Amino acid sequence: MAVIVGLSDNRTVMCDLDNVSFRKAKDLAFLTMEHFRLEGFIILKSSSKHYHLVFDKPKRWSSVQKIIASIGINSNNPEVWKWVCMQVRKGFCTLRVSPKPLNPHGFKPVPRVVYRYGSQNLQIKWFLSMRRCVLRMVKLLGVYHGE
Amino acid sequence: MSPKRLTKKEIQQRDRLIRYYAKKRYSANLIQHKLRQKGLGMRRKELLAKVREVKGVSKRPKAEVHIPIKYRKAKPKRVRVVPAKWVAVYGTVDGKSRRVELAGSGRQLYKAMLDVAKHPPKKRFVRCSASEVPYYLDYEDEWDEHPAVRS
Repeated sequence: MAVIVGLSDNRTVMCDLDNVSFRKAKDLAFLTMEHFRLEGFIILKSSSKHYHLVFDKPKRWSSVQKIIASIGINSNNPEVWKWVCMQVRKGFCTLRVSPKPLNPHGFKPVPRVVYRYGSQNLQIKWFLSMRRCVLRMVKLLGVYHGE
Repeated sequence: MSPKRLTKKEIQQRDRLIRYYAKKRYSANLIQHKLRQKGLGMRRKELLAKVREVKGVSKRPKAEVHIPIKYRKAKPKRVRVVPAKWVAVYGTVDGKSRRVELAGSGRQLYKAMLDVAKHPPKKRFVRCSASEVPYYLDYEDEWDEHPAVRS
């Protein structure tokens, strides 16, 4: 058996960018950070052409929705639109933390930090500490035998 | 009709009267009434400024305006946004996706994860505290080995 573990929060601006190059992900992150004054961000690489964005400044859920919607529009990518719609429907943003099982065998690795910019003391700190905690838990559980 | 213009003498007389009444501790309403009776009426705002000058009182920065209860608007209730930080565990059972959202301390999460990693929830989507997880799990079922989850 295998499960996927993610982190959810409705105060942190997080975004999953699928089928986007690193350069575009970085440009989108800078554009969003400057426009909404989010103070800092990190980019995590989930797999090739798949990136996660986490911003530092906490925001209300209504603002988070606006920000992720604007990222979706700027990215001009249906995969990102779909992700945004799913998060808005759930009421909070979720990003994968654990490895992801792939069909028929194998795993997608744990997303790793590839770029940091600006302040990292608020939501990013929380995200990374929770990520560490979850990864330790997952390792102890030994859920992913094929890793 | 334009208001009557007062002469210099009348203005001086009015100022004297204001000083006199203010020292007698008359209210601004009464002073205005008395001045009007004598044909020396003036705008209330200016009168209040002069009375304050005599009394040596500075203007209140935020004067309270009395609004009768029936005209008062109900204050909008401040909605407290409860921050939600959750760990989401998801996978598939017989090809159908199921998802559990857990909240709690590290120890509670670890205890809950021991069960959640093996057994899926009874319902398709569950959000609960990590300590309540056992009530929602289906202990007879198991997660798929390689779920085709699109997240």
